[in-house]
Amino acid sequence: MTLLKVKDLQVRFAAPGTGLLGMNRQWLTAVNGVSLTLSAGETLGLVGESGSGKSSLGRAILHLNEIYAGQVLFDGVDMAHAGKVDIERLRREMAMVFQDPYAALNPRLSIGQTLAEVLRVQRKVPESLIAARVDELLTLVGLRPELASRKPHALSGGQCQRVGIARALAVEPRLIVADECVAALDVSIQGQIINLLLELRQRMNLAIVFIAHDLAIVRRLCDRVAVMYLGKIVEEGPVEEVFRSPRHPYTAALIQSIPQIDPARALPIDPLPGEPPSPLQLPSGCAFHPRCRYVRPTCSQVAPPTRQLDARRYDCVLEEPLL
Amino acid sequence: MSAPVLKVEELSVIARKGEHEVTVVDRLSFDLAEGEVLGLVGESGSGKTMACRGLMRLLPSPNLRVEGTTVQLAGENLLHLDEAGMRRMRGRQLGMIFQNPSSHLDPLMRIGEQIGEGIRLHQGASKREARAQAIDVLRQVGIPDPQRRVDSYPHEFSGGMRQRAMIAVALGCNPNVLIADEPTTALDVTVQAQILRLLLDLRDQRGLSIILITHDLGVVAQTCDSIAVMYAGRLCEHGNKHEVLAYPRHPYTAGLIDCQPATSHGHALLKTIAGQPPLLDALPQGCRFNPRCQQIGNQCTTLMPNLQPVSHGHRIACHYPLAAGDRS
Repeated sequence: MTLLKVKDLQVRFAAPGTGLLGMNRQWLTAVNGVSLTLSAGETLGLVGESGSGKSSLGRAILHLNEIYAGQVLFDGVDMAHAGKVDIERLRREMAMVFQDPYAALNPRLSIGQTLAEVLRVQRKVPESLIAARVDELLTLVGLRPELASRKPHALSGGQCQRVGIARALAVEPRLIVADECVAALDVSIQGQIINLLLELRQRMNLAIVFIAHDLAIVRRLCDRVAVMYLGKIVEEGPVEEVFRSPRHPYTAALIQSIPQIDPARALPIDPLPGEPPSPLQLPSGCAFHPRCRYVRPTCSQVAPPTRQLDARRYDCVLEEPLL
Repeated sequence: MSAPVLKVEELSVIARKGEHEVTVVDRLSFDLAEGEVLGLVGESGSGKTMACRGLMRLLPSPNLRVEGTTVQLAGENLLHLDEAGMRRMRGRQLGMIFQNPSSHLDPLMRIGEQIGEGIRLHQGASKREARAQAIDVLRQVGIPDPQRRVDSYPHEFSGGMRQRAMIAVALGCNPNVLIADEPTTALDVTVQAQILRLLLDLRDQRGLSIILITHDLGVVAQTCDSIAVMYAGRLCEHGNKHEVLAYPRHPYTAGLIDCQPATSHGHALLKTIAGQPPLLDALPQGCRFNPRCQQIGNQCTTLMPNLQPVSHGHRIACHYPLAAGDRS
């Protein structure tokens, strides 16, 4: 069952203008025509370099960014045109987990107060049952209920991230957008949080959009992966298929760059030269062509075709597998 | 192998917290050979950064102090040098680069001046010579069009270029030892590979010895020669990377390797190390890893294990080490 449908989504931000008094306004297109679907209980990994638009897309899905063009349908309802009642209902069905667990929690509220606030504002449970529900949420994410009286600074990074997840779960969402939610944690703690997400997904049939730059974690956690480059999804498909035989040269370069714990494997010589160009001046044709080692003369002129290959799609002139 | 470039013996960093003293780094000893890349790994708070800042005597607070027997570099014991002597060593022998280049480059100073400042100060070069050398170093770290870029400000560079510029500043005075503190953590994987490649090229061209602080065992596997694992301020395993990564003998090292998400595929749960590292002012008795250790024996809760060689060049601090090749 399709839970989330994104159609030709565009997100733009005003960049500092040029010319006299900055009158010539420039627009930065962070998300440039993205379409995707997500079923209930499915986990989609969103990967790409910084500035590729993954966070903007994640926030636009939750309507935390203004949508410039295109649609985001949740449960078949377009939030941009939904009434107040619908929006309130939808707000209770999706939630976000942020990268920096300390910055995402109010330092002046205890953990219990933070969770109770969500329950109260979203009118999830009657006032008399709030304390019990807070205990339940903390237990769910593997924290002792006694911690409810602590403030964020008295907790470790891993514990804070668990609170961030508990707060997202407080609304009993069907969709969670997790933006780099383990990037700030140590490896031994990272594993604990990933395992928690794996368990919760199964228990609550949660759909998760997992934004990450760590491809190894995405391979472990996600069912499907979408690779973004300069605001577009360049390849998308089942995670094992994409990792085993990437079709887009950018995906292949990303996969080759993952440092493997295999001392016999040398550092790749130069998996991908250069850095992404400024999103204010997108290259013509295929935006990846200035860094692509398979570049053809046409790539700089025409946008690449979208190819379908079983459950996978990718935008490239090449047809054969790369790795 | 020839004599080590850097020899560290019993280096400790001690923090004063009011009435109490907390040992942040506890009697660290290791050698670094010419051209060796040593990966210093451990979780946050394990003391890897403090150890390196301690040996450079660049501790970020007056409440921190260094103790120890020897930090031998270029025939001098750094622990006996005064501040002026230390400044001379830092300029000529030791360079350091950091995770976040934006906060370690002066935003109001042109890149070329920042590189040239050290060259003029330590080598007495003229402004013009320093500028020429700066251009040369920028070329070596792979900055395109160095003649023009030498006059750029840091904000005109991208993240990867800024990291290259910081490496250029550190290399300006031709140090023998470079300490790189998580130099690629803030970068994208593709740029990370470029920067690691650059460090290895510099090692090959200049015989530079590098201490690479990282939490990523994948980075260690692909770039380092040896690996030193720290836990709660102490070194728990040190040896050749092939040996340590294939046959870790300390349960903490084995645990770290197992929790890397890349170690296996599929949707099975990841292995983890239960619990979390201890706070340095509430350390457990005996081995500091014992509350999280799976093969704990009766000595572990009473006696602190010392670093002992188990084979040539491979040392561990554990009462009940894993047998070599004992891992599933």
